[in-house]
Amino acid sequence: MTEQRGWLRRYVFSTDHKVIGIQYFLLALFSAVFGMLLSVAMRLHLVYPNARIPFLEGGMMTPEFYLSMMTMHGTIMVFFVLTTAPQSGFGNYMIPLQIGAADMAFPRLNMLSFWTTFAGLMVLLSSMLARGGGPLSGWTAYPPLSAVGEVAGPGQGLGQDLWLVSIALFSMASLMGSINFIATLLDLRAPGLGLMQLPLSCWGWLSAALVSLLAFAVLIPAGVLMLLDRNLGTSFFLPAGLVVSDRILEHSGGSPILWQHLFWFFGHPEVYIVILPAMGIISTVLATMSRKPIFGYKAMVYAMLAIVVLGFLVWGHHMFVSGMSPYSGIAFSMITMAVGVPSAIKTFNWIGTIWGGRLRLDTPMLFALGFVSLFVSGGITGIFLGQPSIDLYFHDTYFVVGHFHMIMGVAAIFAIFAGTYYWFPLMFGRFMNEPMGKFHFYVTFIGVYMIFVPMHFAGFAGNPRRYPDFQEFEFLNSLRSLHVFMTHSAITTAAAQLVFLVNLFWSMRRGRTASGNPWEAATREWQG
Amino acid sequence: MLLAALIWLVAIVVTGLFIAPRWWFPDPISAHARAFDASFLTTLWVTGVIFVAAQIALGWSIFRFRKNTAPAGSAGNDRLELLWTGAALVLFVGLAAVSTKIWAGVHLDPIAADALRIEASGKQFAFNFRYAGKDGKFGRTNIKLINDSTGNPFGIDYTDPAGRDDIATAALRVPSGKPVVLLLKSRDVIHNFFVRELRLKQDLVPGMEIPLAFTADKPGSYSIACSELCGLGHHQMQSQLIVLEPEEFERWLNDMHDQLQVVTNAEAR
Amino acid sequence: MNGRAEIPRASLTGLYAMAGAVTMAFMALTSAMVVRRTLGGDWTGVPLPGVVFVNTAVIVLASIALERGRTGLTAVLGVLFLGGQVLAWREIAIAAGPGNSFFWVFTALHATHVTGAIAALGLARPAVARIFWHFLTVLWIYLLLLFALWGNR
Repeated sequence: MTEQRGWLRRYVFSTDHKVIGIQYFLLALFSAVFGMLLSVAMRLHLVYPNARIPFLEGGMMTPEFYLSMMTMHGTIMVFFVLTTAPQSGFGNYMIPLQIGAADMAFPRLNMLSFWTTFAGLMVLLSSMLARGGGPLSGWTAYPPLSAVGEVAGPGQGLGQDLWLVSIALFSMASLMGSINFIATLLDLRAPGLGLMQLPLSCWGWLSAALVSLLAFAVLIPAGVLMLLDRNLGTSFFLPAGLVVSDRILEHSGGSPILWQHLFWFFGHPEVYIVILPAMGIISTVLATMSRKPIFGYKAMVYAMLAIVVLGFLVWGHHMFVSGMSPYSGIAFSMITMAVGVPSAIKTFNWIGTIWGGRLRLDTPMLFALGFVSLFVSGGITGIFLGQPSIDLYFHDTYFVVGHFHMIMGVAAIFAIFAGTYYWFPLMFGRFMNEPMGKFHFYVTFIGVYMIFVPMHFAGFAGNPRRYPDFQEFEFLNSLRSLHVFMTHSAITTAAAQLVFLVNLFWSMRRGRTASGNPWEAATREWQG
Repeated sequence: MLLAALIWLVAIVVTGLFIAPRWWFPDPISAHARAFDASFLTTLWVTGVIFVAAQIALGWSIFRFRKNTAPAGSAGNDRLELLWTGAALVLFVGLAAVSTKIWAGVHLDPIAADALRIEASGKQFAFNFRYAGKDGKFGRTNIKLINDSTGNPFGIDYTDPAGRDDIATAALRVPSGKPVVLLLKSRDVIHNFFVRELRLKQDLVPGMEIPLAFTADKPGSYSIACSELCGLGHHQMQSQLIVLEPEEFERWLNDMHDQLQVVTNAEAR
Repeated sequence: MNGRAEIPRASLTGLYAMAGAVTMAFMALTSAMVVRRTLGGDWTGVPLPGVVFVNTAVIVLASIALERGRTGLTAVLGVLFLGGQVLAWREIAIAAGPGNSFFWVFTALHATHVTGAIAALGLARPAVARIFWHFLTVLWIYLLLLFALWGNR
């Protein structure tokens, strides 16, 4: 009996930052696999819309089922993978080790934060099983579609409510995590370790925690307002005169655009919550594997802080075509272009870090270099979308889908991979298998370019996103070959991730044993 | 080594796809659309050069230092930092500043006084358009009168004389070369009006009336596609923009008007 | 490790971070109220029930009691405050007008935190609980001013 409790305490309800870090990592891994399978199913449906599918009611995928998978894919990937793994996963494991602290500042809060995240994921998954199915309003949940209930479509009843509850839980967990990160990084550093001596990975976690603290604090009240509109008849987001499915709804005076402002005030900083820790991890890996200090350390720190501040001032660039004042459009556009500058600075400095280094081209380094390449390719298309005049055409086309998958999707995933291969010897005393790692890298690197570059071309042709099939429009039929190519690339790339999974679990037991500091890193976590 | 080659390959293939594109924009049909294309090309050139240069530099750094044994290189250079920060700022903000004119042309320039006003309304999952008719005035509407099956998607109140000659259609017909202003509305959820050839996109938001001005100058028929997720029929929500020669448009409008008269006379009897 | 001596400082930092997040949430709601009022065209203010002024006195007294070291009294006053809020809510129908809706959201969110503050009296470090309590009192006074001077019209 006592032994059992001991096991629970050590591996399940643990307050140890390493265990919690791994718990977050596994939660993100499960979510990533699930989210990726959803994306493969969606890609297949897009090119074979009339395929008979066993086990599915009616034998065919309905548009509402496609849209609920799409909502689930976006929500899972943004929150439970991209926000969870780089920040909560690696952050929890590494911060105390990199700053010489015994644990995070609030270990019990840390445990609570993980289990709240876990509850959020369970609630989200259960929404798929709700009557009417999962919500189909996407991860952005624009009202009135998301706020009027089942009249707007299947899944908009209980499914949408569960979605909102899930997001609220995740947000609360993120707030707890941010408070913990900030207190730990500011107050538990080893004596003599100044802020400007922190590894850039710690700066990434700190700046992401600052953003997360202020951004999720806005998402929670926004979600509460929507729950009230849905269930208690208030009119925050719902205007008068709504006639949905021939039913007149009793609301008045609310503004659908108000939700967009609140949502994107969170939603844009959210991409920085994803990419700041990724940038930190990549900076650390590149420096170590080039056997050089990072190039332009101070500039890198200032660039991150600039992103923290500017990142809160650009949300309107998601709303150029929303009906927002055109003057705001111009202001948001200028600041958006300015926020591209720190990203450019980081890219230059990463290349400066490699330059003149003695490179170790092992798998972690390959993923870090791949990240830089993807970050450039995904970032550069932001220059198009940041101009409202050009967004007049590209808004909600596959160009946007290509853009954000490159920069915030796969670039961040590459940072997760780089971090995993890099810190694996520290976590398990063994290396991950190199041949498997290299195979995984090369297939994934080529694969993601083959999936996402064609999306930009579909965008040039004006292909709208969030369409369950393309058969209704002649101009979309002509893009079929392009979509078939993307689908096949996606399946291949997804299959290659199996190699990673095998490598991960195989290497924990069987990997080549690693010495204390195999990469000869200068940061503290390796010096124990 | 392999990675350096691959990064260069990516740069070459992507550049190649842009030089000989198989998938591209449809031909523009308005002055705005042509200005958009020019502005897009400018951005494409600037970003294209940055893209290729960055990928080549990255590949070259990997290639050159893959077996380097010399002592570590520089760990920073403040003048370089200032240089690339300044260059990026000027370039990025400059691009946005230049293209602001095109944005202003759509949303800020005063709408021509003689522009043809057409109400465009979205619902799950169709567009409807309303012309004011001979009197140039839209009739009163009432949501209680909305009835799609009897052909009154706007809920026009026919007791209002201004509404009797209003014409409601499923396709959008406009005269070529004449300024048009759409008054965009929605009765249920957010939809979006998108015509590729016009290079224009604007949400239809419940509770708002958003004007969108354009002047199409090439007769033909073009798809209108909903581009804001509106529910399970989002991918089917479409209509046609039919640009007619001005005289043809007048003839069509007169025909519609005559039909209305016939119906009203029949009802009167 | 050096951890032990540092912990109180980390607790304060954590508390300030939390207060920052709460402030941000209330700022977001305030700006939502401004936008809703400007755009809606159907704004109706909320007539403040008299009991909220009694509640104001109660929560201020609770802060003072805490300052005097009377933690138990603070807890009792806290519960009294929550009871008073329930009385206020019973007089205001949430969906009867935009002002009512906002009053509900603001005060319910505040009451949730007061519940937490009562629990903190027993669970958290005294210094932390004290600052948090005063923070909520100030936040309440902000809400009172917001609705008494602006939201009731």
